[in-house]
Amino acid sequence: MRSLVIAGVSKAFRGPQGPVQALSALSTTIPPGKVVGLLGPNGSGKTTLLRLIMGLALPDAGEIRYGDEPMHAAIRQHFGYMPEERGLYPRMTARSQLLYLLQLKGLSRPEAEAEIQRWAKRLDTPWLDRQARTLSKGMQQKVQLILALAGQPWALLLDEPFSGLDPLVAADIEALLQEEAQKGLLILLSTHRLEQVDLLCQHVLLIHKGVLRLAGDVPTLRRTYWDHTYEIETTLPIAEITWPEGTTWQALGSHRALLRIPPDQPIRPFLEAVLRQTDIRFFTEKLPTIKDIFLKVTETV
Amino acid sequence: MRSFALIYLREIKVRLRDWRFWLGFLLLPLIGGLSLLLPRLLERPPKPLQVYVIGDSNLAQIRVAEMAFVPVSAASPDSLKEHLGPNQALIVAGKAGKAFQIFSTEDLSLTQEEALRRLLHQVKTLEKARTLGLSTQALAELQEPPEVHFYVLGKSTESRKGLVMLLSSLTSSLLYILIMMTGYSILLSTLEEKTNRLVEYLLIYVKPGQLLTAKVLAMLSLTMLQLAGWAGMGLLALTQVPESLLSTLTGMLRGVPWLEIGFFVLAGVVLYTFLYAAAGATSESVTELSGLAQALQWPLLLGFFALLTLSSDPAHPLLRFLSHFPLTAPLAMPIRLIAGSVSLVEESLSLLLLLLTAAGGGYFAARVYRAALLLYGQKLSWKALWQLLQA
Repeated sequence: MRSLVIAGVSKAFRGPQGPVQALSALSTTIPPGKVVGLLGPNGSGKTTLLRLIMGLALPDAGEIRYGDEPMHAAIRQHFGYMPEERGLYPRMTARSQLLYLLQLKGLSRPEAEAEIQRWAKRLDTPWLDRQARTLSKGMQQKVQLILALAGQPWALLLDEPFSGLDPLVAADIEALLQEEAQKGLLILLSTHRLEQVDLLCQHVLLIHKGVLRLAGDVPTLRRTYWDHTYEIETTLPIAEITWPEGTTWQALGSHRALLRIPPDQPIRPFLEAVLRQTDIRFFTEKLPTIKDIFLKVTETV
Repeated sequence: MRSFALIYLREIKVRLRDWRFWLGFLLLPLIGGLSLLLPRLLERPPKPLQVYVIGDSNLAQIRVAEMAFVPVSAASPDSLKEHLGPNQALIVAGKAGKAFQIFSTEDLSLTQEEALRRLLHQVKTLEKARTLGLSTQALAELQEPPEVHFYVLGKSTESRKGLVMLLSSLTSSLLYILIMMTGYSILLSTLEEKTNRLVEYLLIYVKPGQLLTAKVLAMLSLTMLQLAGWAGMGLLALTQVPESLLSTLTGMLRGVPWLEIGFFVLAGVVLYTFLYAAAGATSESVTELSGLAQALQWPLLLGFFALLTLSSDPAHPLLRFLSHFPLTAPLAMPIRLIAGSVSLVEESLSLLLLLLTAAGGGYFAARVYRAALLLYGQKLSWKALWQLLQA
């Protein structure tokens, strides 16, 4: 499996008040075998990036490559795509439109039928012979997901795949994406559910105002943005403890607190100083969540 | 090519499964058939009428199934009026059968009124013939209308203006409905894909032009199917036409250049389906689209109403202009062709202009389609559309 390389991609649109720069010289590499989260506030350029990758719009500058090969129609046929605001033909049955759209994607009719069968079983969709207009939003999203997953794609680009899904279905899809990533699939998903990103994504890209502000593996980023905050629980009430010089604290309860220790302060003497006053029930590094990092980055811009 | 065929076949299947297609397909013959049949179906068969006759008349000698005439010489009209019951009438004949007064307790049916008028006219004529000493045969010859034939110099066939007007009105209505139906059909199909964001998926695997052309060709095929169906129904209707009219009608229909008319209709359908598809791509709701859709409808409406007024005068300068103006030519030129008043040069020029406009319309529509299909959340103004096309 190859990486997806975005090299200096820019895109502007004409807006009612003049040109709007949707993406500015964006460069990054999206690795395969990982669930990659594409994050950013509304209007940051996430959907534009996905559309550029899928060839729905052309970049004004830059290039998108799959491995060493520039993206073209034949490669895109092996990419599964789930657009943001998706829909189906209301009067067609889910099965017949899957069959139609998968054939458009390049699968033969027997291949399409076999893929529908396989994914219908995996995603538990016994209602595929109903007209799309009679399906709930979650059901319709499962149909769209089958469309993206069928045909053994090389990559999956999913724009807000969890919006409107109930937690059970969302959990099922999360597990499915993890499975597919472990098989080596390149998965890029745009999402607003930042709390989910910590659990689901191994790599994130953060776009803000059309510029890539952050890219990297989740554990590395959390470590990078860690501000030496720890969480502690003591037997003595927090307010009665005398903290070593330079330490700031924020109570989380009578016996629990968040501590910020100066970066140059060695942790062993610090703990020894505290232990002289109280027993410590619990002590751990408090790494920032992706949400914390997201807020920090977008606020500083 | 495979994608093209898939889109084409889906469009055809969807339309054929849609009740609205069949409603449109059957609407015109249904309206035509009903307008002929309904009055007859709704009329209750009248019971035989007993008619009392007072005055100087030969009515009593007439024997018809639907009425029986009873001469009453001794009674006064007023006393008879008082004794009239249902299905009874009283005729008071004036001197020399010049005027008749008919009384009844309820309205007579249209058939009964018509029969009475016919019989009274017959009686009056016979009376007059008798007083003039004419034989029945001489009277029949006098009553027979002269044969009148109209010819236009330079034309080999006889001109039948009345039939031409009837056929022109029918054809223009039919073509108007056909073009409008096809146009709205593709507009709704495009709008459905755009509103449901399916187009975002489709355009990954097919080019916008390919998607548009497959749709237009599907509509064209359905139009041809509709035309064939209507032609079949027309032929079936001909079997119900009285013998006397049939030879005139078939003679006239044979003289019409159907193939040329077919070219104009199909080119018109292509032009309008392209334009309606482009219109469908510019918006996300039917309400927003209504202005644009109406703008496309204006030339057709103008042509339609002009034809209704001018079909009696196929050489009228306005009709000549409309038959050359590409947006109205698909309606106007067939009408002139039916009337047989078009030179080959005019016909070729009009068809050429129409084909060029259809090709230009297709190019324009493909550009609008490509530019506007993925634009969401904003209503496209004419200015914005123009800017998009330039981009």
